[in-house]
Amino acid sequence: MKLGSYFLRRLLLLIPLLLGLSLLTFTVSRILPGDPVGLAAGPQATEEIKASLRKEFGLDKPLPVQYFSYIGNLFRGEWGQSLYSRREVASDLKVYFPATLELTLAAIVFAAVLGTLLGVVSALNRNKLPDHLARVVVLFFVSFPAFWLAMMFQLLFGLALDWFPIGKRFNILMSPPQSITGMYLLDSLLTWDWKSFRMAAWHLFIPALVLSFGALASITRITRANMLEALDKDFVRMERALGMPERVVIFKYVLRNAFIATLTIIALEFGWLMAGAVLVETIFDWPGLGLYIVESSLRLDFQPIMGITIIYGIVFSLVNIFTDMAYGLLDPRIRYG
Amino acid sequence: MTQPLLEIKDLHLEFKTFDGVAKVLAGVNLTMQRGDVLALVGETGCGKSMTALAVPRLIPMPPGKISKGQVLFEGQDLLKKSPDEMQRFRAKHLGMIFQDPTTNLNPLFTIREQLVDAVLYQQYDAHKVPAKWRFSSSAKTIRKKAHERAIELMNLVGIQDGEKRLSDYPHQFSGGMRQRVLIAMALAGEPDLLIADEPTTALDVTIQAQILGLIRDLVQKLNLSVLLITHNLGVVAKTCEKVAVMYAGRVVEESSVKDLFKNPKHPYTQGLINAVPTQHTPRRGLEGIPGLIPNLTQAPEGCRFHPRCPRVMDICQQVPEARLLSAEHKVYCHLYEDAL
Repeated sequence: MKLGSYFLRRLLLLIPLLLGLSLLTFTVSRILPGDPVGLAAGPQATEEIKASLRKEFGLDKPLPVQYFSYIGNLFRGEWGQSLYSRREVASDLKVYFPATLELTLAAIVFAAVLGTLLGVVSALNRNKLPDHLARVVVLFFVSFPAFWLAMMFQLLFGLALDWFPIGKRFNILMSPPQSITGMYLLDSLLTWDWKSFRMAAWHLFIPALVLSFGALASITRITRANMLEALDKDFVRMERALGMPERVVIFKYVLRNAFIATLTIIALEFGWLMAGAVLVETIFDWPGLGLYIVESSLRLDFQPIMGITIIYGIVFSLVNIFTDMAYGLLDPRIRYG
Repeated sequence: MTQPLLEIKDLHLEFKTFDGVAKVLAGVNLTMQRGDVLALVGETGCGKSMTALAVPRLIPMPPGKISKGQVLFEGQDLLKKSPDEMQRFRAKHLGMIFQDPTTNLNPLFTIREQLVDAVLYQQYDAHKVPAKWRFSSSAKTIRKKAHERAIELMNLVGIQDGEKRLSDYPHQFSGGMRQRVLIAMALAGEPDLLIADEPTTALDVTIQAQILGLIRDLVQKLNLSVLLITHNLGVVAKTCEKVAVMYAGRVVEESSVKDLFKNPKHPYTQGLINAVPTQHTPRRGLEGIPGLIPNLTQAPEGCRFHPRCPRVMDICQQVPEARLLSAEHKVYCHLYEDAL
């Protein structure tokens, strides 16, 4: 199959990309001024203690040797240890990453569905009330800083109305669903655990909604612009001349033409959302990568920084590969070369 | 006289622009009998395409506005129909083909998808049955029938291997082939009236001849009535029996094709026919009509041709009435008197 071999080829190309990414991050994190060992060992540590720490983590060896041994370990599934907490990076990532991924995925789904819908409605009612309303609402939400909105939503829906929990991924008195992917929604679906699913969704809703606002605005605007452009095409007039009903013309024939550009934006926004999840995670006490990233970078804790960069690199590349494949499925004129 | 198939009466169409209101159509009158093949000719911007689009009500409003007039189809006024009724009317009674076959097919869908949909909505009233009809068993048989009809249509418009080519996308067809597909889609519901808006203008000369030949064949085979919009008098002579000449938003002369070429009456028509090069035209002697077409936001009063007319009179400040020179020859000019 053409699509399958295209996918495989793109996956293979991922390897040099990730090697380059790791080399860059590795070099930059070691060249940066600062003494992570000193930070980890504490202010009272003697030179001997620091030296032994350096030796333990292999920091006394030349940089190329360090890099190659890191890559070698990576292929064996060892992502190294945190200088600070002495915990395995791999096991930390296994806990934090699915939480962030789940939050980001939910946010992008909200943004994509709501944004496309609002964009279509705006385009169909161009310069009329619904269009202005959608513009104002979307700009309203994107104009406020995410952390402020997060707190307001927490106050309103969590405390005042008490419709949603004010934070965390799950009820602390209940045990989370059996872990398969680490994403609670998916895990509870896979195990047909309806109660856990409801609980996870209930906790996820407000954080994901708040996170989605940034992407929502651009998706709405891009969809509107592309719908307007597509509605102006000759074939739309032809389809109307054939006597097809408006809903078929718009939702079957026009939307697909407009959606290709929307797809690009969705893929780009996904990367932004993952990076931007930090604030939302902090406010909603969401046990994701956010805090982990901030703490590791402040302490120049090499191994977690490397691990996180590689994970983000993989996710971002995969999103791009899937986007490119979706282009081909939507538009027959795009061939996989 | 029987009821005409299509009768456009005193149609006025305006567009709001930044320079003011452009009176694009200022009292178009046109009559077609069933079985007529009528050409509507005129220069670029004279309103012939707008007239063609006003019949199926495909002019975007706003900015367009029909301020006056009637479009009667077998006696019923199309301008009074609701959008829904109009959509069904288009499906049942009208077929349209447009100028540029490269942009008039949706590039993201196979010909099968588009042609079968055309058949479904024109022949099987698919809009009556909401989304769930796709899943019922009768829907399956209808879909199968529509598919067979699509293959039949592909053969009708002369596409070899019709069944195989249904799976192709528009970009896999040549321009002439795409126009054939578009004709097939327009004919899917056996329309009473086919409106062809410059169907050959965007095509190569050899392909033009093929498409015109196809339209002529279809007229005979299916007993079609055709309103053919063109600026090419050669196309008119080859394809049509009747012709209406438009100038700056009005029909100025209506006649049989033979009579019009032999005996043009309106000074504009005379100028138009003189401007066509013939075998006997000397090498450096193409004649044009002096002056330019008027700006439609400040169109001249009365006969809109009078500022350019070689035989202008005082009375030309008034809009001319139709003069019947014979049963088939009508002219809107103060030079002539009713002969009947």
